[in-house]
Amino acid sequence: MGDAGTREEALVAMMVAYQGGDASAFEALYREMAGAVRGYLRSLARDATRAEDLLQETFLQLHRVRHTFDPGRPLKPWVYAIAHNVFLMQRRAMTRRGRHETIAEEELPELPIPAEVESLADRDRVRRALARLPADRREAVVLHHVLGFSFNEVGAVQDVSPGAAKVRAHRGMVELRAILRGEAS
Amino acid sequence: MAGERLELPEALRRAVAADLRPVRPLAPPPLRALAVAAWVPLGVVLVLALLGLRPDAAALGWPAACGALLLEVAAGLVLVVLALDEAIPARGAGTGRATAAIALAFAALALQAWFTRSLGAGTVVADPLVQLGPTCLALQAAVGLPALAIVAALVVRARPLRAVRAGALAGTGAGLMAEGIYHLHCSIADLRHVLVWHAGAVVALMLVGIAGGLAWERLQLDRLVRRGAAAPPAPRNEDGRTA
Repeated sequence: MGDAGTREEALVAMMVAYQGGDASAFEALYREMAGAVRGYLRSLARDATRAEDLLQETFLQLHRVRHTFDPGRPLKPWVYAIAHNVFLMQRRAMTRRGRHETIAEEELPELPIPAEVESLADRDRVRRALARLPADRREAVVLHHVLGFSFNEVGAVQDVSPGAAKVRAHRGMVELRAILRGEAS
Repeated sequence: MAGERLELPEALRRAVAADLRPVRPLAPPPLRALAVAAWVPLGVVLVLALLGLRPDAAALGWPAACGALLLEVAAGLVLVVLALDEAIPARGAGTGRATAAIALAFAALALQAWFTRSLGAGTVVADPLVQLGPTCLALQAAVGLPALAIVAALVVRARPLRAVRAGALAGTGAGLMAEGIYHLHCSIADLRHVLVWHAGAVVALMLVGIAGGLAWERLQLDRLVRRGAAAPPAPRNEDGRTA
């Protein structure tokens, strides 16, 4: 908890320096956050190439709205809310172009996996089971159980109440365990 | 995996370096909403100068007349603050609370109308559902438009992610403030007149706000489509299964 708090403070300090025009602070921020944001975007898009595009678009969007970050508030929900919106907008853009999300199961990218279910099956099976969850539950599971967001923060990212975020994460984990047990039996 | 450190791609570095001027974080929404509050005295002066004070002002009493103005302006400003908050990533009231706030705004309007009518003042017209109604709706909406323009400028400055909801809150807030100001002029206290035409003007401004939000989202989507950011679809399984 202390480490997480210190890291969050360091990220906010980077963001403040970046708002002040420090290019190296943006670079440091990207280095610190991009890996986790990419994992989150992969869990949404279930497509490694698309997730890369979304990652770049997220940081471009973050750059455009950098003045909306309030240094008195945590940085991560702000960044992930931008990533969430970039994903939704890109999905709408795809729909407008007449394209639909189609995922080849064998091409699923490496997804972030909750520690609670790692012991239930091998990594590949957990990854496939996670990809089968409804999108909103999968997102809540990743944000809460993998990235350690509070339910308030999950709600802020998903634009739902903390209670609804809790229900999504809980049902997601129940469903994930059921899929894995079903496959095992 | 979650903590993997990635290096900044050159294209992104160049794009960011091209516009790296220092920026000042936005002031808190309640502070920014003061720009809209500053419009209220000007709106009051304009309405009184151009349209005149309601003829029953003396019978109604200044506390009642100004109380309605203050109640509706305060409630409108709360909605404006919510709209400005909504425009910022990871902030905002959420759909449920935003809907409740808009419902409460209309309840405040109805309460004010009922209270005014209970005082027994007001001008009586033959057909309150028709007579002067369209004029009231148009004038009240016109009084609210400058306020809505100010809120819209403040919301757009944040490049909102949930523009439609922000627009609905902004429009309702500006409409309610306009109703408070217009209350100083219109003396028809019949509930049918107030709830149809005056509430109608608030609804009209809310719809203008929603339309503005939809236009903003459409603009963002058009830019995204033009930039070709929509990646090609991933291939299907041999059995054509989609996820």
